[in-house]
Amino acid sequence: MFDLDRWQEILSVLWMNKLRTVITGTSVAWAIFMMVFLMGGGNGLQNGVEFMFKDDAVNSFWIFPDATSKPWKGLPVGREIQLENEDHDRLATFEGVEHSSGRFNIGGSFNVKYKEKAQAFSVRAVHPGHLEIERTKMTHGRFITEQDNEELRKVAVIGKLVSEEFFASPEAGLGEWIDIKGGIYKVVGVFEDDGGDREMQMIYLPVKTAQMANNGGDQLDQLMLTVDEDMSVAETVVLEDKIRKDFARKFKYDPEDQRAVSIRNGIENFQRFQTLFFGIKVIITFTGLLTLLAGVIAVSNIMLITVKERTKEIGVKKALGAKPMHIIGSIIQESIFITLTSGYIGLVAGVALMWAADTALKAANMENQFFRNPEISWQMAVASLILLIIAGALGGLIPAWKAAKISPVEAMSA
Amino acid sequence: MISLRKINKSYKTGQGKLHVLKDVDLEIGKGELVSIMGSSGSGKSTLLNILGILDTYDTGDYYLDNQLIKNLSDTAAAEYRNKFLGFVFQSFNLLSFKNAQENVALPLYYQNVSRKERNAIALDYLDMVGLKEWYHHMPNQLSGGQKQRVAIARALISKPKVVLADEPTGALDSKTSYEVMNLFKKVNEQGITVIIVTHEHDISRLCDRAIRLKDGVIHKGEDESAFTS
Repeated sequence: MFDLDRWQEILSVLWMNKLRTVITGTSVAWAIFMMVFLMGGGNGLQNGVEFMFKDDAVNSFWIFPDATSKPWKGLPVGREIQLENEDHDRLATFEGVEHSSGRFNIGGSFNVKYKEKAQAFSVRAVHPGHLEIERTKMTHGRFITEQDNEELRKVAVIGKLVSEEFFASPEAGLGEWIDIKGGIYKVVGVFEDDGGDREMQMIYLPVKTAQMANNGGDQLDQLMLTVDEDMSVAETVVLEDKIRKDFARKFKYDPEDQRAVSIRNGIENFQRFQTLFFGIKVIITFTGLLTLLAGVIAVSNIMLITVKERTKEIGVKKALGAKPMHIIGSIIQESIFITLTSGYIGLVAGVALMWAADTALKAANMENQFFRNPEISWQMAVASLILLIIAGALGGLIPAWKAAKISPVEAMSA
Repeated sequence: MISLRKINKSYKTGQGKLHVLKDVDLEIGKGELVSIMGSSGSGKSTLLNILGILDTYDTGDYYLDNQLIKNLSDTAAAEYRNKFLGFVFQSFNLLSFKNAQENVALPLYYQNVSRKERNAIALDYLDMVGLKEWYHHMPNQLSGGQKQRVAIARALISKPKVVLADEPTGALDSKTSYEVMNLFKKVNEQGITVIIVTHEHDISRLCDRAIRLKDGVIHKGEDESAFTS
């Protein structure tokens, strides 16, 4: 391996056939480049989708009422379902439910005001369990509590961007009063959220306070919950079914009716995405390996030509006492050298492209939920280099074998 | 040094077999300078290849320095060639990407002698053939005669018992040919057996003895003119 004479020979032969070497190397470099590019792109997609899930707890159910789509016991199709506070309280008692919350939306368009400042922020009225489900991160003060709801306290928890708009600092905002659609609420907490700017322009109110202030009765617009972390996908599907049947009984609709109350099972969705990405990775790996195989065949082919061209030289070496292992070793080393060098160039080019894409995406603020951080891990990079060494050795095997079988007599008379 | 007993060698051709060597018996002693003569197709190249363990034979026995050379593996054959034999070819066969010194040192490379050591030895041998100053020249910067002297230095560096030369003067003018032959004589004086395949009578005449081949059979004591091509 660290044989100066052999390297001298390999490099001089490659140098004498520059164009051929470059073209052959390009096929391998291209294969690795494509593989890195596809893998990185696949990872980018996956990162994007995983980021989307990161906003909310993955182990969550989202429950939206709609209208019945099937007739049931003489009741017509198209009946609107309206969720109530009582549904949330009942939901909280289901086995396996960890945190739960309802959401009540304050209708109409309005500005949130603080002193002379006013801006249109979104408002959600929720239960305390919402904190964990939305993965809200409290940075100052506290979130909505059970007491806030029970005592109908007029308190508000505001997002970081709301705080920045109204107050000099988050600390300065705590205890101040803001006006939401005519109601005055005391700021008791400031939060951050991985969901991005939109989530941090949010204001949370106690659900019951908001219902009372906005003639909402005890109506809820949606329910959400998280299940125990260690629940399997199958167990969550069972829970989903139990909830659907319970709601069907209460609201008198067909338990098979998926429209009346739709339940979005986050775990099942996440699992589905995981399976999808696994499938994509398998296809990418398969495609990459086949492309690499094409590259190896190109190298193997060129090595066969090299062996043929150097038949006489190999014959002379044998006459001078070169053993078969000398000949085989030199051919395989040359093959590995071409494969590894050009593969490394492809790897670097692929990583550079992804780095450029990532930088460009970040600079243009285009990172979105569907594509972010295209990258390959260093383990992947090391694995592909090892793969290249193996591929190079395989590519050199047949030519080396042919070279070793050359008879010196025939070689020298050629 | 060399002893051939009833060596037969035939090649398969399109129709059948071509019997190239027929019951060849040959004895060459240590320190002899011998020429093998014969016209093309006489089997002299085949004989040289068998002597050089570059080719195999069908029947008979070949003893080199009292060792039976028969049914050797490729690796063993390579070792014997490296240890016992030095080759000189008509077309020199220097490696184009190595300079004179590295070309001479090549057989020692296959003996795993360190680069520094073998290059030092190679310089001594280049000195012996009068090319010490040319050690860093590449083959394409050398004349035909110089190339052949490098090749002879290369053949000698592994201290062989026998030097086999296949038409060593075939590509050289007569003046250079004599210089090369003088070199072979010098080598021979050191006690190394030298075997030269040639079809040139004046080259053959400079040897101690001529072995004449015709149609795969060795002829002894016959008129030289019978072999004039």
